[in-house]
Amino acid sequence: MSRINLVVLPEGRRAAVLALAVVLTIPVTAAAQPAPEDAYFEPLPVVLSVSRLAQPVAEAPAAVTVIDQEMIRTSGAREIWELMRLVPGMTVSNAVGQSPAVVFHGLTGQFNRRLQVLIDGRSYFSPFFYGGVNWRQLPVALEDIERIEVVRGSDSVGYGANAAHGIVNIITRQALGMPKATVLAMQGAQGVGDRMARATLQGDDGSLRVTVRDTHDTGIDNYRDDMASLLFNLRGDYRLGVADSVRVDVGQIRTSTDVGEIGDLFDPARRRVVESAHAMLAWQRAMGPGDEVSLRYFRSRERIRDSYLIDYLAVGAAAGLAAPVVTGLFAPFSTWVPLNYDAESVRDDLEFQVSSTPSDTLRTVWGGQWQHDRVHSPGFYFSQPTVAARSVRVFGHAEWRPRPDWLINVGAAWERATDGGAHVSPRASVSWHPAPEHTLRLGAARAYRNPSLFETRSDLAVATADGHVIERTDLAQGATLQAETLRSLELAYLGRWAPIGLSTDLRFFDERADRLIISGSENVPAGLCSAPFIPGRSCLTADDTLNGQRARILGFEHSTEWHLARHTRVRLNQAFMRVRTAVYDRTSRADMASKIPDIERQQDASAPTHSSSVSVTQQLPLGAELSLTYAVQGAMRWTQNSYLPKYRRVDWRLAVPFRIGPTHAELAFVVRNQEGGHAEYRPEHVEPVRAFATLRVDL
Amino acid sequence: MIDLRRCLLLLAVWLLPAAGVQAAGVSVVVSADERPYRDVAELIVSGLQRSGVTATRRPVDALADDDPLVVAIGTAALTNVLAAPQRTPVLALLLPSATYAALARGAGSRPVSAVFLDQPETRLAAALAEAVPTARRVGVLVSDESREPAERLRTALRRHGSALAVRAVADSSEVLPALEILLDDLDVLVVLPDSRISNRYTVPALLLQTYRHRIPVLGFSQSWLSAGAALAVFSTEAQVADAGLAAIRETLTTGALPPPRHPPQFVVAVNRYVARSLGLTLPHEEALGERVRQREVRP
Repeated sequence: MSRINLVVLPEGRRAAVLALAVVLTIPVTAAAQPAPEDAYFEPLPVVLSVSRLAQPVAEAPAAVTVIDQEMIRTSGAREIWELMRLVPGMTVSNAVGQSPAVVFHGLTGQFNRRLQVLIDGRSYFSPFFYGGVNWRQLPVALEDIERIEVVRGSDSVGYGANAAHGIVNIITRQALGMPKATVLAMQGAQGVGDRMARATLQGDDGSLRVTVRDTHDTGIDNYRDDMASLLFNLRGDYRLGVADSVRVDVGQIRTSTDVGEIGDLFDPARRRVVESAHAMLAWQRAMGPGDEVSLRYFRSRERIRDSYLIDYLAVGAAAGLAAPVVTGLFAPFSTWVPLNYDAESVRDDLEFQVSSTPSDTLRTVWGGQWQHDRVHSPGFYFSQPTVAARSVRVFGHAEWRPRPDWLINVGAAWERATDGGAHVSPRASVSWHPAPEHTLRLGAARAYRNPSLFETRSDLAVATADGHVIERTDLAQGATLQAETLRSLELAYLGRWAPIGLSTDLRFFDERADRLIISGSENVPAGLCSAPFIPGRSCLTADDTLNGQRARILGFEHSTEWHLARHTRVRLNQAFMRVRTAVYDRTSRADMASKIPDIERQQDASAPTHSSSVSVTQQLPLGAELSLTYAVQGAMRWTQNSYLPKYRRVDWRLAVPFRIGPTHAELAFVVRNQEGGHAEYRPEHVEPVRAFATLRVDL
Repeated sequence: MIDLRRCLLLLAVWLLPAAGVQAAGVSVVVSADERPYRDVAELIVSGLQRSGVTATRRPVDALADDDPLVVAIGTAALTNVLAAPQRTPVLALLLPSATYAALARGAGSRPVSAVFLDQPETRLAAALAEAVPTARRVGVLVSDESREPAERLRTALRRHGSALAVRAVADSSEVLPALEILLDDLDVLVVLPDSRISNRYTVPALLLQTYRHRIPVLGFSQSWLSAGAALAVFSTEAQVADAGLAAIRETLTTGALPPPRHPPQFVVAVNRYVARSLGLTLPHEEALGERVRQREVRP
């Protein structure tokens, strides 16, 4: 072992000066290299910051279902909306010819617009898409999902406006820890031919993930519901120091779907193309495990291309008019009238959030959000093609532990929106742990859903090229619409018995909704339609949207998991509920009164009184995995004119991993709806057996 | 030829005010004038002065032959002190046991001892047994640096009825792939102080991966706890200083250095957020520390 002989110095004078320096500055001679004890004191970045951690379900202020990667994989789902079947209280269906229908606790309608869907906290509640969510237009690949946190209830405090009837927050994966490259192919019945390719770059201070996914299928046989989409998504995470990190997320998705019916004059068979793109920049500073500041900006843009021609000669012929008569009525305009449902919308959103831990027993989160939506669509908003809406929100939440076995969560959000005014949404819950692994929670909340741009201002018109309105439909007289309200009360119990591997999350709930927006109908006011129009075909009635309904939803739901044996896991989800609605009409309109019984009958049946699903996952030898799900859903009505009887479905998946040299691969066979032959939306659309194989290779 | 050493000594005596009025006293040498060395040095100096013992911080070149004891804080300080010509007994603090063992081998006949910075593996096993009693399969990544501690950990865990899975890596780039294999069948991951496995670059990926698999991590420092380890067992600067003071007093009263030892006092710290997120119910830190202390003695 060599000694470092400090005292032997080459020249006398230099030595003296050096010695002086050494004496005055206290020598650090051997500390130039990293010392072994540095590892104990080196500041490390806060990796698992509060926002990155999954909500611990037993401590959350509301009922939360976390869908993790294992659940995503074993479900055999091919599209994101299918994962919602794993949440008790959700009713899910592939609404043929439309965007998939996903509703929490009933109150379905022609357009299901009450569920808030977010990706990494960015709202995908479309300002244009009738105010709902287009599930096939979400710019994230299923394989890039880290987990999905579903709040089964209201959470305006955490998730902003329109988070009243359930929130789905899709959290995407960071590139760190992912394989360098992944290639995936799905092939099967109904023209399923998906391809996905993903590459990651992982460095010392940052990581990047790029994904491209091509999804397409031909849907149900004999129906025009072919769909094709191409998605591109890039996510980069970069660490700027011990505490600061920056994230970038950019993406684009283009979907084209078959819509319309062959031979339908007003909804002809055609392809609708929707393109959306987004860019997000977020900065986060994590000072310690409970202390964090974050700022996020994103812009998303959606463009819909859907325009066609209406043949008024044919319309006239159907009304018994001869061609020359129609031509004469329309002169000097052509009898081919263009109908342009193109639309473009832009959303800007800025949000900041501060988490802190003022004391051992108190944790707070507060922040603000500003959102601005602009839509331009002459087809949907005829009289004023460009519409805009703004909203501002400020929120605060505190989590207080007065004693180790008591937890009190209190929060409120104040919000003001262009459509809907200003309101305060409070929320409170008390959780008590009678024993370490058991929790009793009592919670109450009030939330609002602002009317969408479509509900307040839609104005669909068929007009000639120079603006002569031939027909007017869907004229919303919604200027005075108020926000819908929801008050909820819940009593929940969560328990875990680790020795037998059993855990359960159950709750009773009582939700009262008021000022629900329904469509009445009224003749379009005089003067808003002009000649020419076909006699006998009046200027169509308009959707008069009004706050005219209240509802009470009472029920019980639970999610129970049993780790039966080392390699066997069983999961049971059930929901029992009863929906009671009443339409109260504020204006006296004869045709409205006659519609009320139909509306109420459908709304009362908008959630099945009972739905259950049980899934079993079994690890097999050689690393193979078999999962089987059996689900039963009670009878319900998705729309006024359809009755959906009770149905059962069986899904299963068998996955076999293998190696090609050093690379990992997996081959999976999925069969969804093994029995086939039943309807899941309208009785005339029979859900077929869907089967496909997936090959995934990780490089 | 001018005796340079004498010159330096005189200069030091002249320039450092406190040094002039010295009789025999304890000298404290630090590796660098920064945290944590400085903090521990100050605690030692003030602690000794309160007991009426003279203690001074000195550079290694200013050490006196007749000091009863030199306290070297940190690896660099110990290296420098051992290289100095004095034969004074040395007590080393704030360095890992493996580093001390390597340096002490070259000390020859000079009396040298230490209070290590790292925790004994029996303590880690006791901490796991108390905090996560259902954890039967414990995993650890090792490189050459931590192979022996891992084996000691295996023996300690066996006494508590747990098994240890070990995966070896040659350098940092192999950490993630090895981790992926190791995580397949694990209840808890232990991170041992090992520069190839635990550094600023491997830590984020390591924590994210273990979290994805819902596996808690037992770390060895406060930094690890803040970064995202669910649990950490470590000795604070104050505890290290206290152990040092006890050893110094023992040396001064008995005239001989006590044998090298692990720090008797320690903290079992919990990251409540991570623990809750993983569904772990952990007892309160003080209670946990006490139970681990007892368990360590009687497994």
